[in-house]
Amino acid sequence: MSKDTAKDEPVLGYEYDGITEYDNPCPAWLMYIFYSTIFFAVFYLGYHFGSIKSEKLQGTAAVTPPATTIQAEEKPLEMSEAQVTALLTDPVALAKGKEVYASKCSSCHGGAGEGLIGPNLVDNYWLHGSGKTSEIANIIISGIPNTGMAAWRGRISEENILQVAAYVKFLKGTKPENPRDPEGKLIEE
Amino acid sequence: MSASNANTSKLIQVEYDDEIVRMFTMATIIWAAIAFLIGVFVAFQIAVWQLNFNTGWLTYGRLRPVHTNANIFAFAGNAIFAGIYHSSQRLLKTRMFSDFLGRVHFWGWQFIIVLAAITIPLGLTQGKEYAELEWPIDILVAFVWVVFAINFFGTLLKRNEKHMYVSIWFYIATIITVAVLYIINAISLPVSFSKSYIVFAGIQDALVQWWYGHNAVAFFLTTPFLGLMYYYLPKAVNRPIFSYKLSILHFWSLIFIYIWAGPHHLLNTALPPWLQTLGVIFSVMLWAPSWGGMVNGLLTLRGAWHLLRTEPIVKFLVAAVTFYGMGTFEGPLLSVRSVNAIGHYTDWIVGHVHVGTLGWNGFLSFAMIYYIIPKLWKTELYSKKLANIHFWLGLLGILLYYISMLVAGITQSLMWRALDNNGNLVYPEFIETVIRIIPLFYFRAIGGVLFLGGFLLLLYNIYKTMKLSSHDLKNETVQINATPQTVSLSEHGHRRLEGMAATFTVLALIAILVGSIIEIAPTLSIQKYIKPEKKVASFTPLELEGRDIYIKEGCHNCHSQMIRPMHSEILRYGKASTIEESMYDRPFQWGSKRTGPDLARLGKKYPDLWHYMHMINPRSVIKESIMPAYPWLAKKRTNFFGLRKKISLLNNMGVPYSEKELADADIMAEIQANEIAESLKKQGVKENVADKEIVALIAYLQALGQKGVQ
Repeated sequence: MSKDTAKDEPVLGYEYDGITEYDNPCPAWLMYIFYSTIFFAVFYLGYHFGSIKSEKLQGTAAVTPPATTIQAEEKPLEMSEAQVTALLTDPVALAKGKEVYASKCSSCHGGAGEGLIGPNLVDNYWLHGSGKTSEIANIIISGIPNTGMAAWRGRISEENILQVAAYVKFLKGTKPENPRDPEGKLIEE
Repeated sequence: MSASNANTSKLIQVEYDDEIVRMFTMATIIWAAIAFLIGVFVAFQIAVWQLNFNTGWLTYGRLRPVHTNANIFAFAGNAIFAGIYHSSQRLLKTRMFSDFLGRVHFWGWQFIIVLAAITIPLGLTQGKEYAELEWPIDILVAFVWVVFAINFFGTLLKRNEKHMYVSIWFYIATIITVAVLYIINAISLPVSFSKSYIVFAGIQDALVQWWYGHNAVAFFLTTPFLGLMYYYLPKAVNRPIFSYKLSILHFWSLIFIYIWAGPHHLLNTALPPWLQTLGVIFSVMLWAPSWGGMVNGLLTLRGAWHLLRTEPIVKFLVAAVTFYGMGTFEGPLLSVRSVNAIGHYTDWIVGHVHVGTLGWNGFLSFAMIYYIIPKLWKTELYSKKLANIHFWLGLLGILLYYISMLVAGITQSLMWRALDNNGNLVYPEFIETVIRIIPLFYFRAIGGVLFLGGFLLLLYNIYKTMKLSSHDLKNETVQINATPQTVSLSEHGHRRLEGMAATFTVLALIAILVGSIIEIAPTLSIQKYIKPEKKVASFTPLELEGRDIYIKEGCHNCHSQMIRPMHSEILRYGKASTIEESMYDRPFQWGSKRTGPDLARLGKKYPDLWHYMHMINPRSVIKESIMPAYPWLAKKRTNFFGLRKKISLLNNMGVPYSEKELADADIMAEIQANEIAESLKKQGVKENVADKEIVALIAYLQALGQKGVQ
């Protein structure tokens, strides 16, 4: 610290309700911090205003999500119906599908697929598509605009989406309590 | 006093008005107990949602502003007034200018606090942080502040001490700046006695609000407390102030630089970058001037450090000043854009604030209370030991609070930002990031309990001390040498200025106005920042009513509406928010904390029924949600008729509304409400809720981010 410069000589002739003051200089280290921050400020100001880009000064610079994300959004999932149907007989896949369903889907479609905010998933009526597992998987991944059915791309991995789709297919035909009324068109298989 | 006896001084007798100091000190203690108690309660509400009790006035969204207002204006406010009335009389060697104005100030202020404590839980709020009070109370605040100012400057003018000590400088800066800040930030046009719209919209309001909010911290929680520190610290240790030069330098640099730093609350948002840059550099430059106060305080203790062992007051002072140093280092650090990108909207900021309020304001006030009470009640402190235990409990409480919030903030922020190898969010569900930090919410609340527990010891200690005192409390009377005020030409520089109260005040005013004008004036012509091709539509009447309900319920205390241009935020919430999207927002909703997710693009993400169920019971759609339930929204009727006045007022303020909307705002709102209620009915809601508040709120939530480019 600045002990060498702090001579502790009082400022003579002034006291306020018994309080006096020393005539010490400001500690040098503190002044160096002060000068450094001013130097930083000048540099930073120059950095931001020096390389004049009108976009920098007016409005937020546009930030685009990275290319990989954009590409992913346009691409539907490619799979064969047989590939997903195979999952229906795979207990591990169904178990995983059930787990994901419970955490992401059940709040709208009900714990047992009986429907709640969204349609039930157990009857033979379908609002979108014809109930194929691959169609279900693509609805999960891309969502249905303006219905509240979210696009789960990026929020559920592709592997898990296929597993959930299989689990949804598995739910079909079960008889949960208090199902939501059928919606959409009847599709007999 | 004439110039002829400029160098002579005469002995006069002065009787201080100590009664007013006792009144403010008592008020400080009483309001502190209430403010801390509410603080502990809201801390537990975040950890345990059941503590919201499904009751409007008890929910977090309404109580959080009660907590902040109670601490800032009731506890810190009364502490400041007690200290200013006590120290100014002694530093200026005179009784206060007017006993009557002092009483008007005291009772006026307590009345305001009571009004605030009633209106804020009722949801009567302007929805601006630390400026929640509705316009009639704002006028009252301005009036009482002017009374205080007259009383203070009157005292300054009749002083018997020629020079103003550093404490007085800080008091001057406080009084003028708070007046400027409070009045400008509160300018609004009333719709009714209990509802008004702020004149500033969107970025204007964002900028003015944080110019105010940041400088409420600067000029309500910093400068007056520095003034108090400069009086009570040397008094407590009986040592000279370390450096008079440092006092001068850090006073002027502090008040000049502080006022510019507001935009650091809006870093990485849609705020124009030149303002963000100013916010960053002035915040960084604020580091040394702030530390000037800490250094001058701590170095004053040289030669008196042994008192730290024996005197609880010294313990509190040293800890307070140290916390001030910690907070004012962390502040500039958080103002660096990249650090801010992590800290903003998280609990780290909450922790940072509490280092300042609990550590600096709290502990300094406790030191002052332990000092003033025995002096003014003419006795000894009942128990130093209890005061010591208070200190350690409080210190432990602050550390627990700060560390848990720091960890919670950084943990959650890193979870928000985490991306996997495919560029997807690792934690796409916001709730996952909440569940992770709930244990830390408990630690924070326990920290609050310890701090409150320590304070209860103060209550008991002070009660016992007062019992020891005689009932006949006389004002202190002293013989003083009155020094004439005339300007002496033999003095130069700052010393001369210290003898010129009016000039000093004007210079301080100029110092705080420079930054204010340069930053705020350009945005007053908001059109410059609005790209015509990006203009958005205004809210429909029903959506507007929903918006007012949103603000009334305090949703903005936990939800922001500002998607920052950062990769992880765009992935989570959608494309970055623009200035245009909030151009009609009064008040703006960019928010300061995300206890829940950002809502800028919530619209159409979920069906109406989802929102309905979520409001009635959030757990029905998000199992682990910690949000309070709002069942009363499905019972309270929407005030459709009031919309006519609101729409026409907003139209006058520049929000475009069609002739039809202006003429039939209420009818149009009812039509839209019926449509939503109809869709809810189809989806299975049994009650007809068309005329209920929940429908208006759903209309607003579904409109968020949907107003598109017009």
